[in-house]
Amino acid sequence: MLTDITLGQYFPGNSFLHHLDPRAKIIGTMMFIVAIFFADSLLAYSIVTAFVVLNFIISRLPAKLILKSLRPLWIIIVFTMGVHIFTTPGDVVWQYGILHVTREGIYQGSRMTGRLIYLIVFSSLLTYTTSPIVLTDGIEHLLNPFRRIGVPAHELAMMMTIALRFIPTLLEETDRIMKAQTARGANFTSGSLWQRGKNMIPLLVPLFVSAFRRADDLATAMEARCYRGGEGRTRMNELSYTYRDGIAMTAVLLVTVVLATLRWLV
Amino acid sequence: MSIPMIRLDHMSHIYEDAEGQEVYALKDISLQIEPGEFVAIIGTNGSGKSTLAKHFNVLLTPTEGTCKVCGMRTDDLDNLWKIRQQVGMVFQNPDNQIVAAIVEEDVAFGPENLGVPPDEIKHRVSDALKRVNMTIYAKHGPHLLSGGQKQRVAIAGILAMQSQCIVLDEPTAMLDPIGRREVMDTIRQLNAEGITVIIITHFMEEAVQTGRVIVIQNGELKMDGTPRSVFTKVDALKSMGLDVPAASELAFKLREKGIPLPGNIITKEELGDALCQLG
Repeated sequence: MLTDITLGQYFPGNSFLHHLDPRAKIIGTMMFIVAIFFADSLLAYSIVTAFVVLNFIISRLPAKLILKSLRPLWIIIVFTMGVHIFTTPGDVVWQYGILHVTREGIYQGSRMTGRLIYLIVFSSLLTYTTSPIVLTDGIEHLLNPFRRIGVPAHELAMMMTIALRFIPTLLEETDRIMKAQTARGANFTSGSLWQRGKNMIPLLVPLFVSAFRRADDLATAMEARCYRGGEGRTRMNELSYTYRDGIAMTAVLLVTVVLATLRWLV
Repeated sequence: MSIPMIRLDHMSHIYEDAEGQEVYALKDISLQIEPGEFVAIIGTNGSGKSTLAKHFNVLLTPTEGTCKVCGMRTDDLDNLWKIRQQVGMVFQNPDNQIVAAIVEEDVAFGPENLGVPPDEIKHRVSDALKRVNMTIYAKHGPHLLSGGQKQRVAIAGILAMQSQCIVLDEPTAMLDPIGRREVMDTIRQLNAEGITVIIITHFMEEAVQTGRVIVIQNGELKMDGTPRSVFTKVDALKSMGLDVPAASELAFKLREKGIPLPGNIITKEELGDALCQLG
C-alpha cells in the first residue's frame, strides 16, 4: 500500500539525543563530519569509532539501523574502496593482468571508506533522532542570520512544513486515482518500462491538477488566517538550549580538538 | 446601539467573464448582521453565496457599495488584518486548509501570524482545542483525523485567533452524517457562547437550526428572515430550485391534499405534534 510509506527516517524515542535542540544537533553533526576528515592515524580512527558507537548507544536505537543507513549508498562505498585499491601506486601485493593491488591502495582505500561510512552513519543519527518538523524548525533558525544576504529562511521552512503536511494527503490521493484508473482498465503493473511509463500519464495528470487546486485552496486559507510571511510572526514552540546541548556541544568540540591535535601537532 | 458585526450597503461585486462581459456576481445587496447572530446563507450553485461570504473577511472587496466589518470598511487596506483577525473562515475541503503537520501546530498558525507571545499561544491553543472537544488529538497528524474532526480543528484555529465571527463556507459538504452532526453541534455551542456564526449550506436541516436564513439567487438577496418565515414559503423556494426541510415539504404536500395542518411547520417534532393533534 502506498499509505504505508513512513515519512522520513525518524524513530521516535526518549533518549538524550532525541531531546537535544535541533540547532545543537545540526551544528554538532556538521562539526563532527569535519572532524572525521582530520582523522589520519589508527588512534584517531579509534576515537572516531568510539564516538560514533557511543552516540548510537546513547540514542538507544536498534543496531540494525546502522546497516540500514548504509544500504542505499553501498555502491558508492564499494566504488570508493575499488578506486583507491586499484589506482594507488606503491608496493604491489597482488596482480592480475593490468589490475594490481598495492599496500598503499589498501591503506588509502580503508581510510577513505572508513570516513565515508562514519559520515553516513553519523548524519543518519541526526535524522533518526529528530522529527522532520523539529528539523525544519532548526534549519529555519540556523538560516535566519543569512536572511540579510537574501536567503529566504522562513519561506524555505514554510515550504518544507507544507510539503511534510501534504505528503500523506497526496499519497492517499495517488492511491485513489490509481484505483479509479484501474477500474477503467488502466494497467500500472505490467508491460515494458516504456509502456509502464506511458501508463503513468493518466495517473500523473489528475494528480497534478488536484495538487494545484489544493495549493490554491491552501493559499486562500492561509491568507484568511492572517498569514503574511515571516515578518512579525511568533512561534508557539520556541527552541531553547538547555544544559544537555551544552554537554553535547562540549563533547563534540572536545573530540574535534583531540582529532585536530592528533593530525597536526603530534 | 452596538456596532453591527457586518453591514453591507448596496454592495455589488462585478467580474469579467471569459468574453470580457461584465457579470454581476452580487447585485445591490444591503444587509446587517448583529454580534451573536446565527445566520444561514442558502442558494443554488453559482448563486453568489460563496462570493458573498468571501467579502466578510476581505478575500474579495466590493466593486460597488460598501462592506463594513465591525464598523471597518473592507476596501481600506489598513483594516485588512484587523478584519481577518475578527472574522475567521472555514472552507469546504477540510484537507486543504490545514497547514501544519501536527494538530496543535495548525491551531497555533493563526495566533503565530498575529505575533502573539508563545506562552499566550499555548494557552489559547489548549483552550481552543478544548472548546471544539479535540484536546486528545492535539499531537496527532491531521491526515489521521476524520473529516468532521478536521473541520473542528479548522474551527479551533479560528477560536485561537479570538475571532468574534466565524464564516463557514459549506463546511459539511464533504462530510458524512456523523461529521456533519459534530460540526453543527460545535458551531451551535460556540454561537451559544456569543460568537457570531454565518454558515453557507446546502443542507436545509442545518439552516433550520439557525436563527436567521438569507436566500441568495442570481446574486440578489431574495429572502431574509427567521427559518420559519423562509421555509414556510415552500412554493417560492422550490421555484428558485432550492430544497426545503423534509418536514415543511411533507406538511406542505399534506395541506395540498386537504389535511388541515398549520402553515408554520418546519421541524419533524412540530409536524409530529400537529399530526397527533389532528386525531
